[in-house]
Amino acid sequence: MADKNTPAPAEQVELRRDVTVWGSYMWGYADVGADVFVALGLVFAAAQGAAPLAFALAGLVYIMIGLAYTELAATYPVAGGGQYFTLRGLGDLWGLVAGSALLLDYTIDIALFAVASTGYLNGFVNLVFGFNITDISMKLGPLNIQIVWLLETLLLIVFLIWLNVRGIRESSLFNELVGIVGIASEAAIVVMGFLLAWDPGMLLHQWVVEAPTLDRFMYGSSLAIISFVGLESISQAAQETRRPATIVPRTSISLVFTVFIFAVAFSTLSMGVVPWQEFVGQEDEAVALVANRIPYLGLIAGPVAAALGALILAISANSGVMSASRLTYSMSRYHLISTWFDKVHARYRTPARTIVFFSLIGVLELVFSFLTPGVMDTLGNMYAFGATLGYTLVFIALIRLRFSDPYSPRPYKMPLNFKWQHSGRKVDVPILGFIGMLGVLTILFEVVLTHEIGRIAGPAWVLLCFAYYVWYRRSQKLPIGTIKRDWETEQVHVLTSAEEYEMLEEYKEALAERDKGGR
Amino acid sequence: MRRGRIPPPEAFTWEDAFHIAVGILCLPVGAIILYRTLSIAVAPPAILVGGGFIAFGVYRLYTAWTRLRLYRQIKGAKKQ
Repeated sequence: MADKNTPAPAEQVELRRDVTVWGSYMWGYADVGADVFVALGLVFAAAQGAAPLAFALAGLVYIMIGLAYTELAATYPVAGGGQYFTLRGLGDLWGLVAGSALLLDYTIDIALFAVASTGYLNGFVNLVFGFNITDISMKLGPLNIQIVWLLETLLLIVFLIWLNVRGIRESSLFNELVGIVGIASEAAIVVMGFLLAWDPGMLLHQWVVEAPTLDRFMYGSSLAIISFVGLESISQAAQETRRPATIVPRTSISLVFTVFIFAVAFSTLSMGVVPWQEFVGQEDEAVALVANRIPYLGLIAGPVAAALGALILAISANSGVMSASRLTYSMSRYHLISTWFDKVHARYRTPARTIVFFSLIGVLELVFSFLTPGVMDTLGNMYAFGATLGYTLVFIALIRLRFSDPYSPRPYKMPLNFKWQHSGRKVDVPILGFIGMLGVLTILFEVVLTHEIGRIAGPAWVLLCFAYYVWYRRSQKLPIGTIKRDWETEQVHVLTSAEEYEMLEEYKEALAERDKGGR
Repeated sequence: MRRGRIPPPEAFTWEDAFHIAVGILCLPVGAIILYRTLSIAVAPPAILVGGGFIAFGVYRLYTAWTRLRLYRQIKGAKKQ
């Protein structure tokens, strides 16, 4: 049992369980679907004729990340995602590192996807009315700020903050409606593109002749991994999902395949439709560029793809707001950051303080990026560091938890395991977990080698969070290391609140059996 | 530990019809990609995508067929 002086996670009011199967899928798709719109141009500009290979390799690693998240989110259906799993598996310090890395990504997610959304909106206006809003700029000393684009993006973020403070039901519904249109339209672009516009000769030419240098390919494949925050969103929403042990595996595995198919299909289609050089400088409207080349339909498909991009990127930014707030809600509950963030809005039962605070950090990142020559480049450059660092720790936590917590029922387990005798009990050791960890570590290595901004800003952010953590823990007279917690009682509470009674019984039986045999 | 958590089909739904439509659509798209690519040369990305479309279409149709069979069995058992 927990120490008498152990601070229990504050939980005055809990998050509502409002998210359905479709809602859970759409939270993930909000990131997944939008990633193609942002990543396609960026990856093509970097990986050139090998862009589909970059997407495929990153996608394979993503499949393993997806399976790891599926197992952990179904086993521990609480807000916090990778941070919570790492905290539970590796302790407070590593939980903080994973949490701060993923938090960096979510705040960038808000800024990057909001700016890309308004970028596509401006592209739509340009295609339909011939007026380029992004050209309107303001001189500020040596800087040339695209002021209207910045203001549009700020307005969008304020709208998303309001939506999320109002509650998960409203914002989930928003995601679902836009997501349906998004999936249908993306599928239509892929199918019509392959049938009417795709030229295998162009694909072969780019594949053979336009191969990138090794460092360009490494940069491209590490950018391709930025697509992979979708499943983290599902696990963030797990605490608000009805019957999570049932729903999370279904939605996660569906999403893994949606990601892979769309990413590889879009990149292969693009390479047979547009020379890679044309993506350079048009990264923010890559999908519209491809759609515009579809014969007969291009005149309509171009503006439709731009409008769709604006919508789908807006739901991705919304997903970022939601996930950042849930992550910090979880971090504050476990005293990694101040419990000031832990308060849930009395009326809407949403973590309103964290929504506002960390969305404002996203706003700051947005404003700073507008002061640099390439807004999306600056944000995208920082994005991969947080994801790869967080996912590496999640893999280590997954392996550790198989040993330290073999009693929690796992509705889904990563495939390919071998049995290992540990403390008088057979443990399933995940082979794919080790392979996935090596894959993510390789991409993290690529990020450190090739991302000039990310390799500085990423570790600096994590260090800043660590300094705050030390200050906060000392001010609360709490240890810097791991606080002893009663995970067993918490797991019972989590399963009870999730109404997973079958799992609860199984868990209690496993604990009773362990206690009978002696610890 | 895996449970049969997804309930057996009680009716032929719009979701099943959607899966069948997706499966039927994926097969010709995959076949066209493969045919057009292989008629020029062997390009791994195109073969992966073409093969992926066909595999996904077959999987969707197989899933729909399995559900339809189960539904018929349940319906038959209810009648008896």
